[in-house]
Formats: sequence, C-alpha cells, structure tokens
Amino acid sequence: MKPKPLQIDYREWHQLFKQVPDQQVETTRYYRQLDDAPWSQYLFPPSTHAVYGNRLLRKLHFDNSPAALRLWGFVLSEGERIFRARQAGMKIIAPMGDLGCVTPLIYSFPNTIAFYPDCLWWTPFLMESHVLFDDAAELGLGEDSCFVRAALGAFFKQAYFPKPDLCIGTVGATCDDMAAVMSEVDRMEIPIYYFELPPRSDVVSDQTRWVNFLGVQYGALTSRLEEVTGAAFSVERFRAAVLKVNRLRRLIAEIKKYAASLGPNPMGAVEMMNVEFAALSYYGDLDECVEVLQDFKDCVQSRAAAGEGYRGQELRIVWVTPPADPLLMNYVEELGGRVVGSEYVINQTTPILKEEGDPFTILAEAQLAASLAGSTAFRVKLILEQLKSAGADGVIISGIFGSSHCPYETIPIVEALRKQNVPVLSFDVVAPGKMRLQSQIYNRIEAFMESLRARKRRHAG
Amino acid sequence: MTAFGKVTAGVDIGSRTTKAIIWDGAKVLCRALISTGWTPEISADSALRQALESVGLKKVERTVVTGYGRVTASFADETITEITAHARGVAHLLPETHTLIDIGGQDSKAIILNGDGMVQDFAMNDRCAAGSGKFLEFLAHSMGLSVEAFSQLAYMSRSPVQISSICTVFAESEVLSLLAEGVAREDVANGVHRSIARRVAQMAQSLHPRSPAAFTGGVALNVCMVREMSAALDMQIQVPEWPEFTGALGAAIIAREGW
Repeated sequence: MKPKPLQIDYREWHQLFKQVPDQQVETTRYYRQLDDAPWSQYLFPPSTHAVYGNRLLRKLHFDNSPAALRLWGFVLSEGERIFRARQAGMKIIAPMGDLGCVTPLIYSFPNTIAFYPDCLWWTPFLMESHVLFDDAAELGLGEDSCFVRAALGAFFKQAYFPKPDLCIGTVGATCDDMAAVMSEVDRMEIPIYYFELPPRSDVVSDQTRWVNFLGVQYGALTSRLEEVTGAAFSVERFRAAVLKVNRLRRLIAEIKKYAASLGPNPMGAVEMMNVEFAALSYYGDLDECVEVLQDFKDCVQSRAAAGEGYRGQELRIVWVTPPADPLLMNYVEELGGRVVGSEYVINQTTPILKEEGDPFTILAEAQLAASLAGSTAFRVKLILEQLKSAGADGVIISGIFGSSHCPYETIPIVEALRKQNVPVLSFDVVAPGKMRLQSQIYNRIEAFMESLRARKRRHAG
Repeated sequence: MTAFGKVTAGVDIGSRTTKAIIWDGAKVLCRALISTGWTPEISADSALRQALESVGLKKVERTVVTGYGRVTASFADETITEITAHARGVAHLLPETHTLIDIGGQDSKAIILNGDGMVQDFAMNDRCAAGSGKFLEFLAHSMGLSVEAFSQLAYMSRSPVQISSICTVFAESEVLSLLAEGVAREDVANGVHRSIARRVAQMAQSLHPRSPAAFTGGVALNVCMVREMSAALDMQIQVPEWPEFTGALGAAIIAREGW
C-alpha cells in the first residue's frame, strides 16, 4: 500500500484502512518488550479515536500514508498506553514545565516511562470539550491562564492518565501557568520533585558555573528517581538511553529537513508537529517511538526522492509557538501554505547528546544549548535562521493568552521580524467553542495568506 | 461583454450592511447598499440584483465577494478578505495611501500598503466590540440618539471627557454616570468617539503607520470620528468619496484585474 501523497479526512481513512493488511495491524504494537500483550495494538484509523471522544478528528485532514497512520495511532494511544504501563507494573514519571531535557535520564531507569502532562493542553481541542478547563477553573485556574491549565483538570479527574509515581516540576525561569498547575498538583498529594532551571540568557558567559549548577540538579533528581524506581542509576543504561534518544533526535531533524525541502510538500504540518513533540517524552515508549519516526522518515524520504508531495502548497511558512488548535494548520494548508520551519519552544529536546563523558555534564550542556535557556532574541535568531534556510515567505505566531512564554515574547518577536521586513501574523489561539472569535482568526489567516501570495507574485513578476 | 465593455461586480457583505458595486474598468457604474440582516446570502443577492437593474444589466463578467459573510455567497466567482479588498479599493481612490484605517460594524483594522495597492501588514481588533462601529451604535442608542445625531453632537464638543471602560457594558454605565453627574452630552459623546479612536490608533501604532493615511468603512462617514482618529494617529486622514463602498470597489477591481 503506497498511495500518492494526499491529505484526506477521517472518512477517507476509514475506507483506505481496509487496504491495510491484517498482519500489519496485529504486529504494530507498543511495549514490544512485554510478552502476551495483545492489547498493545495501535494501528487504527482516526475514526476509531474519534469514537472514543477525540471529536476534532472528524474535521482534521491527515496524510494518507501508512507511516502517518502509524504515527497518529501511536500519538493518540498515549493515554491508554500509560494506563497499560501502570497495569504492567512500570514506574510512571511526569516531567512538567519545559523539562523535556530530563527524559533521557528517566528512560535510563529500568521499567520506567515518562509522559508530559503539559501536552494535555491539546485535549480540550481534540475533544472539543471544556470539561478540563472547567475543572481547572474550579481549582482556581481560569481563562486568564494558558491552555496548560487543562493538565490540572486532568490531574483532578484521574481519567486521562494514572497517578504518576513522581512528577518533576520546575522552579526558576519556567512557565508561570505550569508553575501554578504544579502547586495545585502538590496539594493533591501527588509527589513532586522540583528541578531548578537556570536564568534565561543569550550568552552563557560562565559555562562551567551553569554546567555545575545543572549537574547538581541532575544529581539530586537521579537520587530521587532511584528512590522511586528502586533501581540504582547505571551509566551503561544511561548510555544506551542516550544512543536511542540521539537516534530519535536525528530522525526528527531529518524529517524537519524534508518538511523544508524545495520539492512538493511531503508531509502535513500537523504530522510534523506530532513528530517534533515526540522528543518531549517519546509518547511513553522510547523504543517504539524511534521505530514510528523511522517509518515516517523513510516515507517522506522516498516521497522527496520521487518528487512526490501535496500539490498547490506554494506559500512557505515558519510557525512559531505550537497551535493548541491543529485545525489552524490544516487551514493554512487549505489556503495554499505549508509549514517549512517551526519554533515550538521545545528546543531543549533537540540537541544531540554527547555519547561519552559524565552523564550529568552531558545533560547540562545540552540543556544550556537550547532556546529556553536563551532570551527572546535567541528565539528570533532561530526563527530567522529557519526562514533563510527554508526560503520561507512569512511567519505565523500562534500565541496563547495567559501563557508566560507567549504574551511577553510575541510582541518583541513580531517587532524584530518586521525590522527584517519579514511578513508576520500573530494571534492568540481561541479556546474551543468560541465560534465568532475562531472565525476572526480564520479571517486573519486568510488575509495574511492573500498578502503573501500577492507579495510572491509581485516578486516573481 | 456588454455595452459597457467588460463589466465586473464587487460585493461586500458586512456585519451591518451589504454593498454592491458594478465596475467597468474605469468608473463605478452604480452602487447599492442594503441592510445585511440575518440572511447574508439573500442580502448579497439582493444588493447585486439592485445594482445590476439600475444599469439595465442581467449579469456581469465576474463577481468577487468580500466581507465577513462572503462564505455564504454561492454566486461568487472568487472570495477575498476585506483586508485585501479595502487595500485595493483605497489604492484606486487615493493611490498615495500608506496607512489605511477601516472601522467596520464588528471589528477595526489598520492596514499598511506597499505603494501598489497590496497589503504589506495589518492588525485587527476583533476580540470585543470596543473599537468597532457596534460600540458607537450601542452607546449612541444608550443616549437615545441615532448614530448620525450622536456624531453631530460629539463634533460640537470642545472638552471631551475620558471614557476609560473598554467593555461595552461598562462603558454604557460610565456614560450614564457621567450624564447623571451633569457632564455635557456633547462632551460625553465626544469622549466615546475619542475612546474608540485611541484604541484603534494604539493597534495601528504597532505597524509604524506613516502619512498619507486614509479612513474607510461606514464609520468614516462620521466627522467626529475622523477628527478624533486624525488626532489619535497624529496625522491628517483622507476619507474617499463613498468610504463605505471601498471594500466592494476593491472586490470589483480585483474581479477585473486579479490581484
């Protein structure tokens, strides 16, 4: 099964799924290390997940490759997977608030997995439901907070993921709203270990000092993980985890390179976002996540080699800050755009880790190289680099009202891009159900795409 | 082709009114304006038919539809946003325009043009009624006046009060309190205009506006608002003839020439 690249809806995937061989469905499983786990199959069409409450899937468009189907199945089965992990006796660790950098350490402990509660911010959009926001509001986090408040609602409900064995929260230069979520989680008697993030700075003038500072943080966290998992930290297991994580990070970088290729667009923007967010906690299964991304990379690589991709997506966009509402990306594609670069404030998960040396120094150095350790100007630099390398036509910034990363950074980023004569559109994503406001955002996107198209024609003519 | 040559139409389905223009490539053959009401597509169809009938035409070469209701117009050959349409319209009417302010019924926009009628940048206020024609209408009615009478009254003021509330409901109670305190009606009315102008100007400042500036949309017919907008932006503002038809004109031009 190798269809020509297209973006299709859930009904079309439902039909196409009939062509997927039974044997492939049966053998596509997570937690392959477990024997006798028939429940771990996850290759299902989006319609299956729509039935289980992810209603937005009825509106989204998906890539039609089996590799994309596998990616979606893996992403959408994460909640179920974490419950299965608990059932299978694994330890569940939940890093929160910009801590994608600690997950290689978590996966170096045996029988231990990580999941990232911040990503629950997508759930109200996928489910087209206010339930998690309403619960968060009852606990004191209302509409003036970022969408990550959905994580608080989920901790309260205890229906979206099992109670973690340990949460890892952040203090210092972190997201204020996530910090508020963490303080409420603390009151729910869920164990939290606090990790201190260094101040954000462009130039790490005293690298040794901050490496040492973070080294102490990682050391203390390791002791806590040893207590929780009942296993001693092992350098050998750490190196094995680093090798896998590096393979995963390299795959993400390669896939991102294909997203920016000059030929037809070989993948959807939402699929690319799913790929990039795999780097936070590997959707709860590092081994399978690597295989899913390898499959997806092979798919886009073969498309690129054959000059295949979606037609009619000529406007090249760099997307800044991940949109909680994935439909916005579909809309840009519908209007003739494609996402060729991104700055999703998760660069702490992208550096390739050194494979030799002191484990805590390796993690500290990688963390310091990430944008979250840099200033807004550093983010602007990353955006401009991608604009240039991908030959992008403009930038879309999908901010979040109430998020401490966004309101303070959007305006200076916009100003900096305008000074470089880069067309930029910024807006705050609207919570699900606010139809009038949503239509206004769509109007702005449409106007922006019109202006980019006119600009492109003028330059061409 | 018709007796007029290649004739096109532009229809702007706004939240308050629907406008239609018939264009022959050099001049506007006719205009029609009707209330949008609850059925935008019917209003658009009626406005277009009214315009066509007034020049004895049955159809046009192409029709481009803009405005918030454009998605409902099944007769459209193409739809474009009102931002692109207003930019193209004002570029025809006032070609030197660099900064364009458009205040419509439910939102306001600041648009920077690049010199050949194309949008270089834009900003919109669309999260609440403040800064829109609806805000003005609501507060005019609170004072028992039509929008026209409200504008004329405001224009006579020489010492406008400050209206600090940006929420329509709170602004209404602020207006009523000021009137109860004995503040002159014209000063309160002017304060309302100033509040909107400052809000729109604040939004426009993020785009680094430059002269020449123009003001389009139905609210540009309000002389007090033009005065306040000019003061808030600290630059002279030109208002084209028939400012409420600028979007429809832009759509009609694009229907003929492309964009």
